[in-house]
Amino acid sequence: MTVPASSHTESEGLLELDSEPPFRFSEYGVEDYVVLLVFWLLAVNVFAQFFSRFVLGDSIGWTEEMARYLLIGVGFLGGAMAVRRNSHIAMEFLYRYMSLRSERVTVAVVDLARIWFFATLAWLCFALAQRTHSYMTSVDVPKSVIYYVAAAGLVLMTLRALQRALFDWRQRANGGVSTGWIQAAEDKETLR
Amino acid sequence: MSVGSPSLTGRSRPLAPLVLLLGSALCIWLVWSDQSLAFLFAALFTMLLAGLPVAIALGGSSLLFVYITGQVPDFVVAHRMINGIDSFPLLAIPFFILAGVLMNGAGITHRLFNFANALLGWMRGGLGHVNIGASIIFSGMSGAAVADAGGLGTIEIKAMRERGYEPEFAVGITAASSTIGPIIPPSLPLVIYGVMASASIGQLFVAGLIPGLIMAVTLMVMVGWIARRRGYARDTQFNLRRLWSTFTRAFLSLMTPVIIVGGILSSAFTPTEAAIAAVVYALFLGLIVYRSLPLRRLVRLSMETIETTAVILLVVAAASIFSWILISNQFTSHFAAVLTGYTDNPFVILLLMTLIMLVVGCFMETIAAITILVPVLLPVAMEIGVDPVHFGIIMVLNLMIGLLTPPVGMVLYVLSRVSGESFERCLRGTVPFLVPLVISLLLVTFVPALSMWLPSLIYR
Repeated sequence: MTVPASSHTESEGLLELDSEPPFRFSEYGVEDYVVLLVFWLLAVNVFAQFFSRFVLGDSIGWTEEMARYLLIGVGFLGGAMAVRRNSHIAMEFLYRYMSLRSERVTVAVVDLARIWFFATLAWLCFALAQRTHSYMTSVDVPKSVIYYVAAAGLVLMTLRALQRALFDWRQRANGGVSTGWIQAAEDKETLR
Repeated sequence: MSVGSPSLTGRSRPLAPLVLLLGSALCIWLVWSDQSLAFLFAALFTMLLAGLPVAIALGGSSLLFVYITGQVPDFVVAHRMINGIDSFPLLAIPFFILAGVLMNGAGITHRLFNFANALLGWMRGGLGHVNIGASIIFSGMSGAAVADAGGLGTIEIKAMRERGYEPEFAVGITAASSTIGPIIPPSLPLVIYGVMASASIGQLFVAGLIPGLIMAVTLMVMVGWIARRRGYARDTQFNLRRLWSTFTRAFLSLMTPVIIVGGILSSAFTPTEAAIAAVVYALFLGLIVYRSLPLRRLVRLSMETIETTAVILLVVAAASIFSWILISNQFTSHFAAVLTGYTDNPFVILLLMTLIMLVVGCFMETIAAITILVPVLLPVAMEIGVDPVHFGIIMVLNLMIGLLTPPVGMVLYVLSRVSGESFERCLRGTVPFLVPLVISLLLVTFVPALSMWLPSLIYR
């Protein structure tokens, strides 16, 4: 435990900028770049509101409402990325107390339930959009646009969940060692 | 307990599938005997145990409930979900996350650690104290314990190992100190709590400051005690020149917590504004001052932020339909009546709720737990005269302790991954530090002034 007093590690070099792999466009799905755009629009929007309130002394009226709607867009469109990369919060601890076979059955049921939920909710959002005839308060855009975007996000989530399930199913058919979500989280790299 | 050892053997383990089958059978029986609210809960917990994502378990059980009872048309579920995240305070979430990952990505954490090291490293058990100190500073710019553990924790554990500390001790103190993050503002769990409980997020942030510092003090006492007992030497001499040089290097980074916490304390910023200010400042540091944010890294960090944000938003959206069903069926008032009818001693009720929250926190991720617990427990708390702001601090502190316990100790999993130590070893190292955290919890729970004094000064 005796340590020279001067050995404070100046660790700016630890940034590992050079070891960071070069960027490939295919790292992310096409829909992810759409959300990226929505997200930065949201950031600019919120900054504009902040800036106008502090510097110009009067906040731009439509920014607040628009920010809320863009956030809904980020939530539902970004959900597809989370489905693809299997990062939705779930409790997996029961799998540790399962045999491989019952784990496989459970995972299959969970996959089906997931697809059912996303598909149903997508349909409900679509139904909701069809029934909505009001307009946004500060801009002249029909409110149903938000619900159509949410429905689109859910359709994407359905498709990504389907892709995920098929991928896992094929892995199992090929005699992959262990499936399940724990494994799936590890081989998410392969699915990019 | 066989936590952390995935079942790779072909041995038959009938208990877990049996639990799921029983859960499903219970659901069917409850539908058949027309007990729809009980069905809602049975379905939720069966789905959660089966490993369905929390958002789907919440939304799916609500959707089934709506189909079975036919109380409302089914598209109301979609309407409630979308309206659940149509809220201005929630905008703080993506930007606090972005600020946190930008700080980590731009290498700001290293500068903070070096400064904390020069400030506290001369004490006995030095790096243990440094660990806590760095967590306090970092918690003024990040809102999630897992971010603290994953970013700062990596540096801290590495440094502590190089100085010859036991890995258990290093992981334990890193895990315990990372839970300070969401108590000291800014805090993602407190934003979610504020949205679910319709409480002022500004007040919640201010209320968390003193409890967070109490946690730090009790942890430091524990570190000091362990260091004395194990006879740790002092790592370095106190050196004013070194303190000054690390301070000047870290100065621009140190301004981040000053901007955020200062802005909120002086009520110049709303939490959302503080979040966007932190992002702009982090971008300024990363792009212009330190030049440590190339475009590819910025894209990756943005994607990471979007992913985390979307996951949280979907849980909140699904929880808002769930809690709407609970409230519109008078479940919450019934539950409060049952609990307060059982005993009217507020002390006992508070202790009982603490126990519930601790147990839930052991099994559930923080944000998800908050969205379920708020509609159920907050009415009870208000019934016995606990302020919603105070209750928010109590709840988040409870759930933070849950982050350090199996089976769903997120922080321990993260630290186990970044340190390469086994889950069991991480757990063993963390257990001693649960003592100061529980002491802080009891203090914060039963001395309301600790949380409420500062907000009462600022928000009159």
